[in-house]
Amino acid sequence: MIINKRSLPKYILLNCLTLGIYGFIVNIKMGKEIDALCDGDSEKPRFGYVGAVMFRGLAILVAIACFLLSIVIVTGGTISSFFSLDLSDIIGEVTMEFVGDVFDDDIAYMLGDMFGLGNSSYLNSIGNGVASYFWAGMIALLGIVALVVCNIYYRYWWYKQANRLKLNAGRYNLVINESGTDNFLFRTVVELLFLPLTLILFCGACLIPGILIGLLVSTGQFNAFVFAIILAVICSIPLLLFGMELTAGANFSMFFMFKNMNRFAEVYQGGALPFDPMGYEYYPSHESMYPNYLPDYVNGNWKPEVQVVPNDGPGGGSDGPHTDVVLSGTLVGVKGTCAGYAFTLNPGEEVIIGKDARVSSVVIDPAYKEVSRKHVGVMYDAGRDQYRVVDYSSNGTWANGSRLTAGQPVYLPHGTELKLANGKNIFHLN
Amino acid sequence: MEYIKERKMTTFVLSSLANFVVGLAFGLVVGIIATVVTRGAVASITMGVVPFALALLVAFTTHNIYRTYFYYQLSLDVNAVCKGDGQESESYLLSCVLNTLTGGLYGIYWIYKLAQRLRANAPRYGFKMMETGKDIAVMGTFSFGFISTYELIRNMNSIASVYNQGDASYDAPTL
Repeated sequence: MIINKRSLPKYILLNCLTLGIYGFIVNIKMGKEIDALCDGDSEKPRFGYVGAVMFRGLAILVAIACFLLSIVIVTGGTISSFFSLDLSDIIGEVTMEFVGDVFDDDIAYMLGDMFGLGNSSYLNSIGNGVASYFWAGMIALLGIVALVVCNIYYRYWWYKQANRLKLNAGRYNLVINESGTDNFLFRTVVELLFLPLTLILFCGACLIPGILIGLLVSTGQFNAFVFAIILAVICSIPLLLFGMELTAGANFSMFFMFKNMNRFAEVYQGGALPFDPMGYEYYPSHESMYPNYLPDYVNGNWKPEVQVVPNDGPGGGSDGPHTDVVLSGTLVGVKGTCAGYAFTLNPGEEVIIGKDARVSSVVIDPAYKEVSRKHVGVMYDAGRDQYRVVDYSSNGTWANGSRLTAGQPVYLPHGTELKLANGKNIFHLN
Repeated sequence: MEYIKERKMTTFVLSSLANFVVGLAFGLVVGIIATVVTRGAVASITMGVVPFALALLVAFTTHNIYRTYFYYQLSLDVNAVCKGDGQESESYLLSCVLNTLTGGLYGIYWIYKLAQRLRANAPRYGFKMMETGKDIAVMGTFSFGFISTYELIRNMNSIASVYNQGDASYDAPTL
């Protein structure tokens, strides 16, 4: 699988020109690329992009049909005239007859008027259509419910994919700041801000054909009506898509999706670290405390520590010593027993900090009663260039002011401050 | 140790919709009764608008009945799996009253706390909850509660499968 780099302006332009077809294809590809990047994370949505779009398309079609129908009913006439059948008349008459038997005929006629059923005297005196507000309202409500419910999955699908990128970034030594919730908010809140404009376009797509159809119905040209409704639906879909594409907040969220996917494209070599269901959490409290902080290896200032390793192995002596780049971390004591001391952490080797010298490599003075015998484990992970920290204590360990969950490994970046128990012993992850 | 049954999202969606439809039907009946009682005085003035408005009004005031029951059951289960973390939920009735008084704002905070608590306790069952309380609260606010409920059901079912076997890996975390 090749992860493609993409440009947002090109996406918007081609998407508008092709009435959404380009975007549809790009998003299908991007969904597959995300699946490849996040392989094995068991967070894959049940349906692919096509499924999500089908839900959304269904919602839009049902909504258009419902709104058109309600406009037809209000402008054109009763349910009876819409279906051009005597069925509703029959139902209405039977209902009214039943109600008339139970109560009286006047009430039966009133109910017939209210629900647009039957040929009541009120319909003749007040005029067709007025009695059908009830049905128009109900059908429009159905359209709104369909639009909301079926649209939710589409948004959820994007939320899920953005979340997966953030969760799996650690496998590629990347840090992704935008979560699925951010994606969802961009998509939804910006769309709400643009709602008035979208509604104008939506009405343009539905109202004019709806009124025309209503007029056709009221003049009794049923065949023309059927033709007109098909035409209106077909015409309104491209117009609607175009309007939504121009106004919707989707492009704002796509900006971040493209930006993050382009970063993955740069580092993706067809493989990744295996997925760790309990790991890969870029520590959120650090981001929230230092929003402008970027680890050195991200902003380019970080220099790997270089160690000169004598090459005295078999067959290597003739060329003399060579230089290997060995990544390692450093744990620096800032306060307490180890203040001023630095400990080199070799990759993959867990260093235990605690009071008990039998289980701890970095031993804290037993006078500090709040520190556990085996308090916290720190391991430098060269693959991610992060520190894997596990709190084993009963009195807790704080990373940049936030308490770690006991027993749960977290990955912390360079620059994190580790505070043991009541804060009398502090270490810095250099 | 009580047994926690697994939940299905389809049940939640269908029950919510059924709740809403029953509310609409009930409102409709109220509209008809109003018409009959006033002998058409209401209907002759506003025709179909009154029963429609009544149906909507009743549906919107009663559509949360099922959800209230659902979240009550869920909060009991969350209390069970998070037992010992020192964060027992307050009275559910009080939460409902506060939610009504604040126009739903307290409900957002309540669901945030519930999700945060579940997330903090998930490692006890060898499981990591991906969604934070913020995620759940935001999604719940903008998706009429559907996405947030789905995520809560998904995570709760995963935890329940371990909990029902009586297999918690860690002690309760101190929150």
